[in-house]
Amino acid sequence: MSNTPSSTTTSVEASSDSLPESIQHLKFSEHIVEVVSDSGEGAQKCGQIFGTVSAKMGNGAWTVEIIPAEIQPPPRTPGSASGVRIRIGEEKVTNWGDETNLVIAFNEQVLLSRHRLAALADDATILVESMWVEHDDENIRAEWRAAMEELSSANYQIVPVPIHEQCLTVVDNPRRGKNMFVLGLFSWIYDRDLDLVREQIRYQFRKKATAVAKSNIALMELGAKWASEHLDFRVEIAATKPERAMVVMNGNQAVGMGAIAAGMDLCAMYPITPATSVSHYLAEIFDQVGGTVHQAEDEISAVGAAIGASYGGKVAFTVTSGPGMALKTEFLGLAVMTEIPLVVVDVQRGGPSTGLPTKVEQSDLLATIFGQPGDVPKVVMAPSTIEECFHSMIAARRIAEALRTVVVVLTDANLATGVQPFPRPALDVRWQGSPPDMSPVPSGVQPYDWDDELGLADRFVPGRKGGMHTATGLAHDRTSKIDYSPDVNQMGCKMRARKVAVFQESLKPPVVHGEQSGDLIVVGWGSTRGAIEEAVDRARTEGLQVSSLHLTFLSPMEPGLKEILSRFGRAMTVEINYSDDPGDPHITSENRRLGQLCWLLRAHTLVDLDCWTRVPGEPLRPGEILNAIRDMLAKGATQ
Amino acid sequence: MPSDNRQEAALAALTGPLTHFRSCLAATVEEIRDQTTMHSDNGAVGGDDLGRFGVDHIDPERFALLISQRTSVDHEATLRIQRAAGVLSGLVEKESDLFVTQIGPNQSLRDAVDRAFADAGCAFGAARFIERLRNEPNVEEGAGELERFPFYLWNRKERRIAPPLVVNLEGAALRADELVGFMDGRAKIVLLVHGEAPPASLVRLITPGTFVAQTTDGEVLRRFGEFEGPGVVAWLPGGAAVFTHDPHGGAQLSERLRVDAIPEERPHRRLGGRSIRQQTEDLRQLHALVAGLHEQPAPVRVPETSEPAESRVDAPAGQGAEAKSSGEAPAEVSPVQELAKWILSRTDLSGMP
Amino acid sequence: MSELTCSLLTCGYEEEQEYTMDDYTGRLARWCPGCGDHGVLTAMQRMLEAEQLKPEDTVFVSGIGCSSRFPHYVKTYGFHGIHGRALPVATGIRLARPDLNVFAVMGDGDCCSIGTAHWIHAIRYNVNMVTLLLDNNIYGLTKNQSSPTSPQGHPSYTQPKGSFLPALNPTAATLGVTNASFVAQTADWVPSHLFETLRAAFMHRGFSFVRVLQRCPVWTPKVFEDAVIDPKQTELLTHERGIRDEASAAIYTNTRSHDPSDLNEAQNLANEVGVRLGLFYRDESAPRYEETRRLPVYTAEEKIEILDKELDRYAV
Repeated sequence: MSNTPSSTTTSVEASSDSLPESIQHLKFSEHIVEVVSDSGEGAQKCGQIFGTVSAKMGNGAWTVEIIPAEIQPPPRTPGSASGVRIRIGEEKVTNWGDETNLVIAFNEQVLLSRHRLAALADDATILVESMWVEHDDENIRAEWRAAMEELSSANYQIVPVPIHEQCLTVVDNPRRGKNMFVLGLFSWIYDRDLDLVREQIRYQFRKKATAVAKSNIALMELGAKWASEHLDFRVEIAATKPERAMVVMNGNQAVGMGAIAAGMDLCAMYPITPATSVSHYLAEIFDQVGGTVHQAEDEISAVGAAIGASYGGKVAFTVTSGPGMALKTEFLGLAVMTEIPLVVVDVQRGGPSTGLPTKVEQSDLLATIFGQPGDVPKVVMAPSTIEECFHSMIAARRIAEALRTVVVVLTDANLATGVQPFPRPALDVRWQGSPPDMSPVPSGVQPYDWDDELGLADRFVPGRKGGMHTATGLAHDRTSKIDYSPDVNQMGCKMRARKVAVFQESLKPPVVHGEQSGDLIVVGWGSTRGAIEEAVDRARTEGLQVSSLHLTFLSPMEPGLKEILSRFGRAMTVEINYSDDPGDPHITSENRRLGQLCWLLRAHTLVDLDCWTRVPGEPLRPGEILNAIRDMLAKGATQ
Repeated sequence: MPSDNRQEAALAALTGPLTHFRSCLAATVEEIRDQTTMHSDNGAVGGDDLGRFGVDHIDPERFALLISQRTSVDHEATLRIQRAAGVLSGLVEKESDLFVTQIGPNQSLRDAVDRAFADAGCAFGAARFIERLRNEPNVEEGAGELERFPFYLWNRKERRIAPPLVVNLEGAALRADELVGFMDGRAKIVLLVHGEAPPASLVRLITPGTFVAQTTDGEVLRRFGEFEGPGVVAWLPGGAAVFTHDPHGGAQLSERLRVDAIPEERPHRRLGGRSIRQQTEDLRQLHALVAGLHEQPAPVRVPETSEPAESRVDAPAGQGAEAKSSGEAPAEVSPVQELAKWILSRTDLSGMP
Repeated sequence: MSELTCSLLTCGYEEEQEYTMDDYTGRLARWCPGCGDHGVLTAMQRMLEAEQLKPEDTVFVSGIGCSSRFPHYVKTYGFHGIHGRALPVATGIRLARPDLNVFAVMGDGDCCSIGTAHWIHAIRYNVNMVTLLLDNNIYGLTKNQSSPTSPQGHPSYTQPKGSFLPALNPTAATLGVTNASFVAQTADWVPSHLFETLRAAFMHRGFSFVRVLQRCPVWTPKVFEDAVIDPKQTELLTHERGIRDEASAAIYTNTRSHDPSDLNEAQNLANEVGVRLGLFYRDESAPRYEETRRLPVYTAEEKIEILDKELDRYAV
């Protein structure tokens, strides 16, 4: 927004008393907006409403939460920064983009945190609460001055706004209302439909007294009015009402709703960030459609209860995150061994150990595939968008049931909390699946009567006459009798693997994004799809011969990968997990740790893949990926 | 209170058993979904059932290889299962009229209740038929079991799922003895009585395990709806006796029975089939029970009552009829105690503390 | 809605069939000769026969240990899972299938050590099932390691100088948990009492916890020896609402009347030194989890309709 004619002065008077003479209308094809406050001041709510309204108006939108590092961080510190980044565009938006163009901050310290993280564009417009400039506390005034000094290193356009002072005209305690005033500022700047904004506010506060929504709407309107009287620019991002009916929600809601659409009505879980909100959503809607969120005493019990319910004839599911996956390990092996269908949603967060509980990472891939002792063939898939979060649950249930095995859906914190519009699913009653066969077991049929071709056996659900047997986690023969003999164990392992192989044959090859051959192919999985594809598109406009490939099934892997990779001079993965940077001290090709998909693909295809991965606790930015692509191409071809 | 309000209030109070019956129906419809939908599509997997994500990534035809081919039920049997399933889904779609009935002209209370139970009972008939088909595919449909399946054919499990009934009737048709045969399992009947009625007719139904109440304001219905056993509540116009016999009260009659009003006025005319003498007898019996409450009755031991009903011997319909004396305060004569003991042992008290 | 939903298919059609002991006999039991588990198995099979439980509607769930082989030896459905985790699986089965009769069989290591969290919480959930703790005071399958219930001073391969800690008292611990609803203790060497206890446990609507004192002839042959030899050392809890075992009355004359509704007294008795068999506590009114959590059932069409309305809320 370099052509915005606002002043960089820090004087409050300069922008508060006089009406702007002429308002500049700035047109952009897309804009990245942030709102940041101290934790608890409601910036997230403000940002989510703004994102939802934008989506409803027909803009492409992608929101990402900015989550403070602690639960109760001290206010007015960089660590307290909490908020939302919203990227809105004329077209569909697939990732959170690079740098923020406009930010509204509730104090200069949370603003500093964004500045220090290089989140803001050099010419970003900043609206910041002005109450700190002449605050009674000398320390605060000093902090403000120091912050302004630090911020002056960039070419920001800083506009102080008397948020607190204005809010006092409507409410007694502006700490719980500033966010709506700010929503009003956004609404005026981006010319949002105020009726939609009001409607969304009412929805936000539907569980509170109507007076609450009313005063919040008044604050929003005040913000819009103040902006119209004091700001001298507006931003226009053309919106087109989508032809298809759309819905807008976050990834965890989509997972919960998808589970219900898939006919799964028992979710056993234990609270863990960032997966828990799936169960919050389910707890609400299960009351209407029938279903149970069983909050177990621990992660192990949660998966155990899900397995018990599935053994009883359901396809139950559990939602968790990395540390929870670790605890569920033994039970996952048991489900595979006893051939009980189970769906596990792992909303990945930063690791290792407790790691970055609220932040995104893609580092559970190998643990999920290989983390259980023994050979535990299962299906692992990763939706890449919020829409896929919904639809993947339907496929997951079907696959789990057909194969009688564990299906793990790997999402991540980015998808979980991100909000994105997508075409409204046309619900189909067949997604509900059919209940297990309860007819008597034909005589002579055994509980593990594997079809040698397919590795599949009939499902013996309790209640079926003539099917009495004891399912066991010990090595067993076709009659489910415990048997440690070499042939029996070999056969059991073979059959459990075979059905997954047969399933692999039904997978379609992944589609290359861009040209079918070239100098470099970038391979990704999960939520990074939008950022990778945007980076590839930008690289191609620079004339670089680069394409990308996004994998959805990680176990078993989609067919034809080796052939696809071989059409490119070089291949690399881009992931949000840790790998050593080549060139770092001591790092050689012999000891370098690689990205998790990179390990997997190298073993799977014998192609000499490289990787570029980062663990910043936030989604990758397309600009960073573009830089990595340029660097990689500079190395020349490997094959 | 106008009758439609009474009806609404009665249905609201019976939400528990009503939802339970409906849920069991829905669960059954779901259980046979594969026979009713999949087979009619010739078991084809179109891919739509995998959802968009599935179709984007999976070849539906190849995936279909993995769908286990169910134990084949022949085409004829499938058609018959579908016909029975149609009966069940028809009942699911019926709203409250499944649970509300009127006594028609020249119809007795017994016939009306029997008819209503038999209509809802075709759910049980249909389910039995399906289960029989599963076991022996060539089995024939029993005579009319998909149309009417009367209460006397229901087994103990079915009686515990029994739908509640709300019956609209003229006071003259109120004949408590006609309901005796339905007092089993969890069968619950609410009688909405219009016009003058015998003052204490229901007193004849009091047995230790049966919830029996006469009300003029409907207050008692909530408790009735939560009671896990059989019973009748008559909602009468003013002037009738008001009492509640709640088996949850305790082992002693004095703990179970509460009498709020007994009309002073003597019955003065024949009502329906009830002579003045019979109506007077009803009132006298209620008086006798009240008198009994003030005496200290000899303790009657309640045998182990914790057994779930599933473990009990199937009780014959109408067992309550033989229990007429149990409502009276037990005397110290041992045969009476023996009888009380026997009745208790034959009664479903599983819901009792 | 306290009543549990079931499919009508499971409750209407009934085959005329009388089940005998043979119908409940699974694979050949491979416990050591003299192992108390044999007696528990027989008593259980007798109980199944007495109650005529349909084998296909009955599930035995276990973890890992000697006792956890139990399901293989009963010809019903069985789930032989992982160490310490029988109760979560059993809870899940009940949540999905309240029409099934669910039994969980655990050993002392299984229940009171690795599975302790589940034990405590299963008591609190009070799901309707029968739980057997076959307590032989030792890890038998893995050959002689101290368990939480090993008597203090009892030597094992892991604690050769004797178990360091005072033994955990599972009965007292169970009685201390909120929502406990049925707590009984019996012994493998008193078959009629064992049978009656299992039967009462099955009759109880709720989580029935039965600790069975169980002899291990290999590793802990002495721990119950005195009680086995001299019935007077065993105190039988009697009450009209307790375990009624006429058959043992002649031998077990050391009795004490205990009202099983008295929780305080039950806790005192559980903590007193000595072998005590009988029903410590029963509360039929304790809420049962699977009933509390039950919701109306809808058909697939109805669910899709509701979900479609839900999507309206998110419509753009």
